[in-house]
Amino acid sequence: MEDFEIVELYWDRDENAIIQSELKYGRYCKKIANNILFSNEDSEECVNDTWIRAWSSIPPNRPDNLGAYLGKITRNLALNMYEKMNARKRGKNQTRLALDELSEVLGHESDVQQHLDLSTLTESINRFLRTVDSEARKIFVRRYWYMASVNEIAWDYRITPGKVKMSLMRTRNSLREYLKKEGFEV
Amino acid sequence: MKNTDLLRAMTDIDDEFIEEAARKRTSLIPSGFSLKTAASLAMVAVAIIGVIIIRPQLGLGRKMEQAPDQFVYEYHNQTEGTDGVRPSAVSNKANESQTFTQEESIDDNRKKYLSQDGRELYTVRKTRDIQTWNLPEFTHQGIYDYKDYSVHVYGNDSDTVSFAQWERNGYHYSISFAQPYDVQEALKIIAGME
Repeated sequence: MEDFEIVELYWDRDENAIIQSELKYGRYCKKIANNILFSNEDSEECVNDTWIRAWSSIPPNRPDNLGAYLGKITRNLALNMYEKMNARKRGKNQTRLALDELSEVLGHESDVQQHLDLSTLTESINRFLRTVDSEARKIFVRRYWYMASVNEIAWDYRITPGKVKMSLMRTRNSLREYLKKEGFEV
Repeated sequence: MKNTDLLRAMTDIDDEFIEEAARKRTSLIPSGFSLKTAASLAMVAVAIIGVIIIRPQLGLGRKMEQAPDQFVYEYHNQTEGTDGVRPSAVSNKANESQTFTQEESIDDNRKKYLSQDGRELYTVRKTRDIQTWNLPEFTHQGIYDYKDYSVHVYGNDSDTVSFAQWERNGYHYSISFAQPYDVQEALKIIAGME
């Protein structure tokens, strides 16, 4: 079923929307959650919650890209759960590694919390990503959006893990410089 | 700013980036190429494939089926900057006891292969879904290209393999060796799984 047809089902308040979403994007969302949580059970929970969130947010929303829309919901839910897990010292996965890598962009976490509007930061990241070449951008997004492991990215793009790491390091450094220029405290 | 702020902010990046990264392999026709160029490239590809297929049949080349030794080593020991170098002479650790004589299904996706005396030799996992592994103890030792697929090998040194993974015909495979295997022997086993 096409995305727009599924979205129509949501708008019609037809519960088949959830079944069709699960059929089309269940595995995709599960993969996103599992890359963050590294737990089958917790990922299942996130994916189930994703359908509930989608049900309550469509309408009023009418996403053009349903996959990305559902993926974003799953990712947010998984990050929420990750933070709770991490507070209980259960975190041990790609998320921890990705955070360690991203700490290079930020330097030390500021003791004095900078008032941060995440949407402003997102816009800056979007602008930055447009300046990066396509290959580096895909690698960066696979790592820090999909939380794919370096080996998995190497496998998917048929390049060496060393090349993936090098590309990530360069993009992180560029992002750091970019965010500085945009006035973020990094 | 916290580290997690960046991850959070990443969530709402433009859909096009998310979609672009989801397409795993580079398109065969890069943007900007005309259909005519693409057609010309396709003809060249057909000609190359024709030569590859026809040559062995004419007795001009070795048959692809003979292949374990035709795995093409793509890179090796990358951290030392020796890309493209083949592994040094591989010690031949294969012996009869390493040849499996029994196989056991663990579940729908996994099979265990045992030696004659019942020792576990290796376990193969075959799934439609991408597999995830946690391999902190092994180093990625290289990629071997064979026929239309590539095998990623992992281990603690360049001569042996403890784990390998590849993708073929829409399936994702991985093999875990109970004991490190000689690289060439491991590749023969993998080549034999068609």
